[in-house]
Amino acid sequence: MESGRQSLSAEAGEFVSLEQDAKVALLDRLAISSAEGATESLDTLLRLIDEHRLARPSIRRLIVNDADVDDVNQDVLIRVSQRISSFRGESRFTTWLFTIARNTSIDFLRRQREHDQLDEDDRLSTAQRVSSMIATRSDLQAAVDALPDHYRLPLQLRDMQGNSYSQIAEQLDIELNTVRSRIARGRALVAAALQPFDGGSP
Amino acid sequence: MSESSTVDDSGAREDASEAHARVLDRYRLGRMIGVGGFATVYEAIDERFESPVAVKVLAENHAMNLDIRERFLAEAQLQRSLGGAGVVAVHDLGETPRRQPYTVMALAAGGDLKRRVEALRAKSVAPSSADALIVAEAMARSLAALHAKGIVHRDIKPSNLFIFGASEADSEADSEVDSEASSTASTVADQGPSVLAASETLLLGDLGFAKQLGVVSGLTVAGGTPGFRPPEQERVGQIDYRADVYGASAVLFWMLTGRSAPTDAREAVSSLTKAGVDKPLAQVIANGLSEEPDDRQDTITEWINELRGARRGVRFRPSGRHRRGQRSRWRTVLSAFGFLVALGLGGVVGWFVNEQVGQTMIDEPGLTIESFPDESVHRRGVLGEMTVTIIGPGTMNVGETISFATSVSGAESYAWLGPDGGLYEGRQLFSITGTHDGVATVSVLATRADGRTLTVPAEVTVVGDG
Repeated sequence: MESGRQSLSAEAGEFVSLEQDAKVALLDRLAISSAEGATESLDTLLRLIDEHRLARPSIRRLIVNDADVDDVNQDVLIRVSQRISSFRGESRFTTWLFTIARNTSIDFLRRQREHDQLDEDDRLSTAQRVSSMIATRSDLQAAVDALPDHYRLPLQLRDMQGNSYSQIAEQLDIELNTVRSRIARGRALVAAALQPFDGGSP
Repeated sequence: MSESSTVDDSGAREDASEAHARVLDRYRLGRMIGVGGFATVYEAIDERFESPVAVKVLAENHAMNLDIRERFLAEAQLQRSLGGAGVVAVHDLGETPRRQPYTVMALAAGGDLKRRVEALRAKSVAPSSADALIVAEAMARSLAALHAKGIVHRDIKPSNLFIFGASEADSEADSEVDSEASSTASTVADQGPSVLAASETLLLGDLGFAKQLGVVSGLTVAGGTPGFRPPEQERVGQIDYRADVYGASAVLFWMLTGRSAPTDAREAVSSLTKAGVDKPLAQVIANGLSEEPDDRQDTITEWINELRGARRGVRFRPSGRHRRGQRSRWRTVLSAFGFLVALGLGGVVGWFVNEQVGQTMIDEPGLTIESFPDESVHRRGVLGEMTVTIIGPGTMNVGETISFATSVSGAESYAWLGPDGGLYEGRQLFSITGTHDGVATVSVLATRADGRTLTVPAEVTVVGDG
């Protein structure tokens, strides 16, 4: 099993050079492994979605503004973490992701449209909510502590100590975009701990 | 128009004043050059290049309507992917502060064919056969480019053919004709071809809200513009490139006679010859207008070759010349294209309606769905005084054609939104043919006088043979 996961992450390292069919199949295997609770598979899956921009074409079908696309993409990562346990491999993961990305985009538009009618709390994106929960809920501490350092450090600096992205980039000596994506993925991984048995469909 | 904005309609006044001062990203908006139910087109200057462009802005009251927004963006993406081949090039996509998506396109200095021909007719200049052939060449170039990409336009009409590539002198003359002071336009000497200059070409203005992609949706839908739409779009059936052969022929017929195409091809020949068109040319155009696609030219290339031949006096067989069954080749090509599009976007797609589980955005609550023993389903949406009911089955088989009927009250206008994303106005019935498993959604969008829209979706499950 362990070696199976290792081979998955090894394959993921070559993602760009894989044929389309092989990409889709690899994502399916990673998703099933993630659904079974393999954190490292979920980490790899989130990284592939984020770095290879797998959710963005679906988001772009409804969202135009670049900053909005980034926000929705973050929320998609979180939703994937929260709901991956319900993935059974009955459809392709890419289809499942498409549905999540689409629904997240729809929710975003709805939030924008109803902006004025909503409470402050409802106006927040999922990522913002997760961010504030990380800051305030001690029961999430364990989930944060369990993160690999490259996620944990930027996440703590951001969500618990309130540093700006550029300050974190400077402190850790990493690229600003890397800081952003690590925080987004770190939040998504913590979100998986929030609702581990949320078996709702996408 | 701007002077009259001091009276009555405050909404219009707001829009008008806004248009003069508005800058969207790097685009400085100028005068409004086109307005429809769903979008407004402005002349604009791209400030980075100080060059003219056209900016098409989705109407504010539709900007957050999921279906319309998605359709608008999909059209922009498709149009962009064509890179100016056959259709006007899309340069950019953006969003206004009010969240209205807009596309930035090449500006047609020469306006559209409808206005061009009407301006000539207003000066008692009737387009000649030579004019028609020049336009035919330009249309054939555009359509061949589109068809090469596997796209059937399905809504060729004079107002959707834009004139590019005008020489400076031409564009000045045109802008006089097009300007608000068109009545004062100086007279142009009658000489040679008068509709299109040799340096000009025609591009399709858009792939349209109201058209196209029945092919790739996997469902064919009735649609198009009355007078220019081929008969097979009135009923529902397989649409292929010959739909555009019809449309292009209808444009020539309109240029030469000033009227929309008759349903009878023989009548078309006599109308054309009465208008002074030579019999061989009239026959080629009439063949293109045949009711049965099999009786038309197979491809736009064949069509233009026959037109060229007719000008040289070569005769062509009249209608009814094709063997049935010759078509399957094209159908294979078309369905293959649909499949490729479905696989597009890096494989993360599955754009099929059946995979878009849950969440349909409805503008207002109050949708009721009632099933009846005869298997029909009534979906009713209410917004204030406005009521929309759609009646139709809830399931259908692959290969079967079904119709939905709507009854709309209290609305100023309404349109069907087909599973292909196209908008179809002015019809009470709407038919679709199932071509693969899944759920197809047909919606009616009704708009009240105050601009508020009600969307009522009707889902139908398409059941396969297996």
